[in-house]
Amino acid sequence: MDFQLLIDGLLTTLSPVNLLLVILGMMAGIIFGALPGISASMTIVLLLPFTYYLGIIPSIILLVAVYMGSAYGGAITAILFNTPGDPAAVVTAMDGYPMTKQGKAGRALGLSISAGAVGGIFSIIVMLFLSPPLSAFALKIQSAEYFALAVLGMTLIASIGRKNPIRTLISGGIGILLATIGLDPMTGAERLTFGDIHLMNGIDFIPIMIGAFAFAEVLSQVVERNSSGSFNMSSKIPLEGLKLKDMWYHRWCVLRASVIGTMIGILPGTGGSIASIVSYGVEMRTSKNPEKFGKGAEEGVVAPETANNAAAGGSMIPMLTLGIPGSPTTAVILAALTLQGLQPGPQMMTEQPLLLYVIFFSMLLASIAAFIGGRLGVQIFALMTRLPYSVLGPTVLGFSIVGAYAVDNDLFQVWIALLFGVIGYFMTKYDFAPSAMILGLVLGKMMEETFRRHLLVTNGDYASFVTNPISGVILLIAVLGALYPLISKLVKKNSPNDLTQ
Amino acid sequence: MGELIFHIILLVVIGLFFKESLVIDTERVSDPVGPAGFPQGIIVICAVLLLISLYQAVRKYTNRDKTVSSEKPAELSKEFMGILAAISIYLLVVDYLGFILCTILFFIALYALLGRGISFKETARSVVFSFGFTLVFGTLLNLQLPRGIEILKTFSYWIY
Repeated sequence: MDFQLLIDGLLTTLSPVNLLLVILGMMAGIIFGALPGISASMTIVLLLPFTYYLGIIPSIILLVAVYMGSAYGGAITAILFNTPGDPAAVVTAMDGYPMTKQGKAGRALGLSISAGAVGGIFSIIVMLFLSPPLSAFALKIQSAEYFALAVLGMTLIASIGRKNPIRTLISGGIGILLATIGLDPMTGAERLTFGDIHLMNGIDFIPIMIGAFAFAEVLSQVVERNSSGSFNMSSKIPLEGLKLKDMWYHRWCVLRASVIGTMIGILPGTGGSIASIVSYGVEMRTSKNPEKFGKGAEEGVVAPETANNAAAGGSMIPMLTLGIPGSPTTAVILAALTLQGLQPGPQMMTEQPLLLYVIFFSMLLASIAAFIGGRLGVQIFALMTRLPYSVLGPTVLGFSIVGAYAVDNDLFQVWIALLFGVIGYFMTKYDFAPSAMILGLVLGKMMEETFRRHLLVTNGDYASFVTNPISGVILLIAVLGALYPLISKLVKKNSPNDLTQ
Repeated sequence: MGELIFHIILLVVIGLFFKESLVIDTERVSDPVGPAGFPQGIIVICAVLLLISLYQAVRKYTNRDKTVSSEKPAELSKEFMGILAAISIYLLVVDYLGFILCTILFFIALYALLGRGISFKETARSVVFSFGFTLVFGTLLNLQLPRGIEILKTFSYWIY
């Protein structure tokens, strides 16, 4: 590592204009990331024209800061209104929203933004020191490993709905089935479209997510408040905040999630959603109180948010070192770099080393700014929960309608959201799990593609999923994870204490 | 009873998906599973699990406390049905009335449904929200919001 370049990179990033761009980009990312339907890649695309008037370094600083900011923003509406801003925040909503209902909105937001910042910083430090070897490792990951990773994420599905595991599995299956709608990825054959042209490109998960979470939650609240007559009452619940020392309590959870998030983020084509799902699953399996998950467990907010933000940093590694985007958003940043006349990849590390260090430091500063500014800002966001529901409900519906429409500038997407709002409401009412459906939808496409691609390459050798060392280990972890509750029950049953009793 | 109906609806939908999966073109298959194999496998698993779940639901229904009188379902309340109707009407007319006017009316309707009544304050709040959404999504984020027809379309170009 060239320390002179490192110092130059830091000083360039700390120049007043660049520092201002970091803060502005981070704020824009948080705000737009919080809006359902407005993805990080969309925000970056919208900001691209502004970068034409900036130099190479300031424009990249701005876009990278937006990227980091949007990774934090998705959790805000997920925690406050059960309306995830992006798929990665679906898992955060599972415990974040119950925390809000318990009057801990400020604490949940504080945990999410602090944990996210630590995860982001962790991945950036890893990026700074270990980029080349990790990128080389990422290239060894092939279809079998991706499939195993999707299976690992899926094993979480069975654990979400402890109330009724069969209905949770059905929900996950429906999600996977929805992911298969559209053109077949291998042959291009039309599948399950019922002849509707709107379904040819498949169903986007944003409208379904908005429907199953936001619309369904408004309908649930309407039913609940209708019986209690509390539509116009302001919430008097306290907005419990977060002290810095509270984060120390979750240090091991943050560390585990940071490692998982960074490693998954490095794998091209994965992104924050898979990282947050796997991390949540690992945390739930290793927790001494797994029954608290889904009811407002703090680890249920800390783990996915840390992993999501670590994945954001991690996905920059293959993009910068190999020119392979790790997520859709880094693909847009890659396009932005190309527009500026740069070609990310091995040659960039030798030809533009200062730019690499500037990117590292701008991401680091965005994370630090989010950590400091976010901790103050979350209390303002949390105040929104004190609005009477007769004002809050229509506002959530308004954002949800525009968010679903924004996916494709098409009202059909809003109809999809409305349909899944009703389905999501009844799913929740009858102990199905809308979150499992969304996880199935997010993971289903990758699962099918990698499964079939691997079989194609190996001439139908099903055993190779297990005999391949990396995928074999991941599948073993998935199986052990799925059987863990059963094993721990058996171990407890046969423990000496029980025998003496 | 609602639980049973929901299961039956899901089974019918899964059945429709299975019927649709039978017409998937499998002539260009290059892999052992093919384009229809994966969805059909998921459909079969879902159907089996749904039948088990339906059996559980039937048992629960037959073992229920029959002395408790059944009340009117909460989903038939004017608020619940009203919200679904308001969203549906909004989606049907937004292309004609344009985003701004339609959103104002939508918010007024929702406030009235949720017990805030129709007053100057609520109307003003609806106008502020509608223009706020237009500013953020239409102007700032450059989203192609519906403009309406005739004079409303012309008017919309002044704003977004």
